Amino acid sequence: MKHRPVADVSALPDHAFGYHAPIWWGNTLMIFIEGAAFAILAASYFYIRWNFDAWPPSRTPLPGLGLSSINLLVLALSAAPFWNAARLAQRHERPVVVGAWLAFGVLFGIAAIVLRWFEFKALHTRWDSNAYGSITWTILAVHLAHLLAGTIETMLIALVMFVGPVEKKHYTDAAVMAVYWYFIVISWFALYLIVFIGPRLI
Amino acid sequence: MAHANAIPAFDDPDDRPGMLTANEEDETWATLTRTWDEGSGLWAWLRSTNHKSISRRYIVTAIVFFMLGGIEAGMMRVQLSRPENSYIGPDLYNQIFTMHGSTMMFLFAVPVMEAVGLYFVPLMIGTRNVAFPRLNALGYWMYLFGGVLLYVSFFYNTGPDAGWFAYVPLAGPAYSPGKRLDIWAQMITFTEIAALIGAVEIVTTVFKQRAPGMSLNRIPLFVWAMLVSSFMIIFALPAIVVSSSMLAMDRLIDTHFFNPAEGGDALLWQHLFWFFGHPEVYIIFIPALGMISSIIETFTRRRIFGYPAMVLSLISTAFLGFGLWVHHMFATPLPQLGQSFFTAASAAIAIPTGVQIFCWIATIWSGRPRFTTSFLFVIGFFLLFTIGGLSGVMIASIPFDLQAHDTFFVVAHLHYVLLGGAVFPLFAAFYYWFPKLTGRMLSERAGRWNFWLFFIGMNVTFFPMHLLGLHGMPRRIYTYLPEMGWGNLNMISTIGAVIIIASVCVFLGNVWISLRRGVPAGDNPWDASTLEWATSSPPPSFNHLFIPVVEGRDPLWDARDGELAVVTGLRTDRHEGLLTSVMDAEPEHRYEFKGPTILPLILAVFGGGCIVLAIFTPWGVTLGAIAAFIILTCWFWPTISPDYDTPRTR
Repeated sequence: MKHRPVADVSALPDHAFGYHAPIWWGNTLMIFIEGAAFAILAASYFYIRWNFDAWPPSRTPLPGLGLSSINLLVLALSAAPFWNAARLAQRHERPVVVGAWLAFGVLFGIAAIVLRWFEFKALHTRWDSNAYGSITWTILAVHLAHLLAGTIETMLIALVMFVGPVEKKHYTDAAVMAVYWYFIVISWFALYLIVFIGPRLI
Repeated sequence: MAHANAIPAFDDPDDRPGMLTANEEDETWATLTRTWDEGSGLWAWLRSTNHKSISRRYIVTAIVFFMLGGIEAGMMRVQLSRPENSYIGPDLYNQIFTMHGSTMMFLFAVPVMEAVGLYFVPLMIGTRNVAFPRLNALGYWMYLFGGVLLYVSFFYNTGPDAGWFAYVPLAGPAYSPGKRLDIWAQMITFTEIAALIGAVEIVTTVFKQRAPGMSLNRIPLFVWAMLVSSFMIIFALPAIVVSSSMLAMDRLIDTHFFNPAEGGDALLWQHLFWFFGHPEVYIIFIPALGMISSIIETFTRRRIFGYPAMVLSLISTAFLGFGLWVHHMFATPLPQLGQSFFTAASAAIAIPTGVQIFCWIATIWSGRPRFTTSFLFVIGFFLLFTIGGLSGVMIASIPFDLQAHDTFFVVAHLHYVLLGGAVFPLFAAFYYWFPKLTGRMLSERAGRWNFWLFFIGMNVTFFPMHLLGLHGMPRRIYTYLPEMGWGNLNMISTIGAVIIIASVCVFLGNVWISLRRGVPAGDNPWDASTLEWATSSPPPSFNHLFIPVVEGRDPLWDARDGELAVVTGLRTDRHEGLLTSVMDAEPEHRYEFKGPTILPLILAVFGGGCIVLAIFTPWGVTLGAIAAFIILTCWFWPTISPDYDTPRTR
């Protein structure tokens, strides 16, 4: 078959942001997968609820709202450094600047992970006590896994920005990292409402 | 054309270069071959990230599992051929039917469909590799290790034995002590990771890497089918991820998700499993629909009738497929409203499938069909799937379902839809695409034997099962008494299984001989219209010499004068590809694919090892996370690409 050139693409850029970038799609589909998993966990929570007369089960205190609400606030504020890092990355700021904002975000991540420890305690139950304990512990643990993964990933991207060889496409990674972090934050708003506020309403 | 404005097109006729000379083409071919070469030998094989080599081994592995699952089916048929047979005892029989179902669903049907997609989607949309080549390699290794785990355990008498859907409480810690069900749960972990990876690859590749001009309304229907099925995987698999993890936790760390004594619920398992399990059927079936569209188009030499209706049917099938799961649970206490809703949904899904069948009939009617083996398998699909669909409509009705539930009637139904709806299209696809995969034609004569033996064997095996079910024979029993009067029909069914095995042997012989002595295929032996046929057979490592530009739905039929419009200017000394916009496929930017590496295999070995360890101790999860962290850091740590893009100073 003969080939008839109709266009030359050599002048096109070598990276892009947002939904123009494959990694943005990879990340978004990952969010779909994990969002679906959270939804299934939430559905299981409500399904199990109807096996109990009282919720939380009798003799289990209501989940504590003190540190868990502080953690919610920490996670809400954590979106800001990520938002700024993504904004600066899209403007191709110097790598250390983007890296510094990501490192700032990592601090919030670490704080949230530490506070999560107390949230487990605030549930006043254990995973092996009954189905209520199983589902609430699992929801917190699965979200904790996201927090850990997101924090470590951010740390690595920040490290690349500080010491690694940086190409323009790595700015795309930094911007996409922020999208993943927003998912971690937003999903926690829903799960916090279900696990900590829910028992007061249903 | 819209995209002409987005790239520096040669609008002025004086600037437009002429046809590329043979010399220029040879030079490009040589450079691309050097750049995309992955070397030879075992080490290169283990490091490969080329979508075609990975899909090839995916397909071969899936066929091996198909044969293992088939051998298990044959053993069950021998055991059931006469009453009070003592060839297989009850414990082994339980393991075998569980292995058969788990193998066919998790290790054959889903992987093989994704593998065919991962091979042909990049070729059909005119790109050089899948979006994330290393991740793709990881997917294959995880799948392979999951299958090996299941079979090694089986050979050590630790095969799962609670059926492929592992209902609790039977599968729970109280009634299934030992490790058999943990093996099952972790095999699921491996295969779900592999399936999700494949789905993400396909969606991203289809959305971002289509040839310029291949707007959404010009995508080949097979690519549409893979796209829709991949979205189903993305939303359905999380249900089994969660539920199999819950099962593993109930068994390992004493959670109570499915333990009614502590507020858990056995029916929760059924809901979660079938919320995955029913879409799973369509995850297998929708790619098969795409294969049929490709084949019918080629062998009737006309465009598919009603392309928009076909695409909308695929999408609505996918949506409805998520609303049917409860019809697997009609024998459990359900509210009347739930019963009505799921009966209606189960009947409604016949509509989009019907639309597609009528579009195909219209295509065949108005075209000039060539009755090749591939086309015969498509005809076989029509007949068998219609029978399976009719028995499906019967059991969608609750009063009938309560009679037929857990009998051989259901076994007959599900084999008609799965063999008819997935295996026949797969054979059709194999005969259709084998020339592209290997450069050789399969023998048509052996192909006809293959088809007729399979078609007859399939009906002889499974049709009597309808009657057995109506006579009350339950599924999953290892033997029965002579007074039940089921002996003759079971013997007929077993004879049918022998015919199917003969057919598969003919198929394997055909492949074996054709690989050596088959007629050379040439680029486009069937005069098909889609882009995979624009390159040589088998395709070179970089797929297409130049990225084609698409100006219609049938690029090769449009280019009958032998001229293919292409873009130039992509670097040939790097793994460079062209990315285009999601809707209209206008060129956006260049993209460098990752090259070969051993890291996916290392991650699969260590991550997989920790998944197996997690059968015995929860620390396996912790260790696995640490191993994954270290390996992924090496994986993603950037290596500088000299002269690609100037690194920035800090």
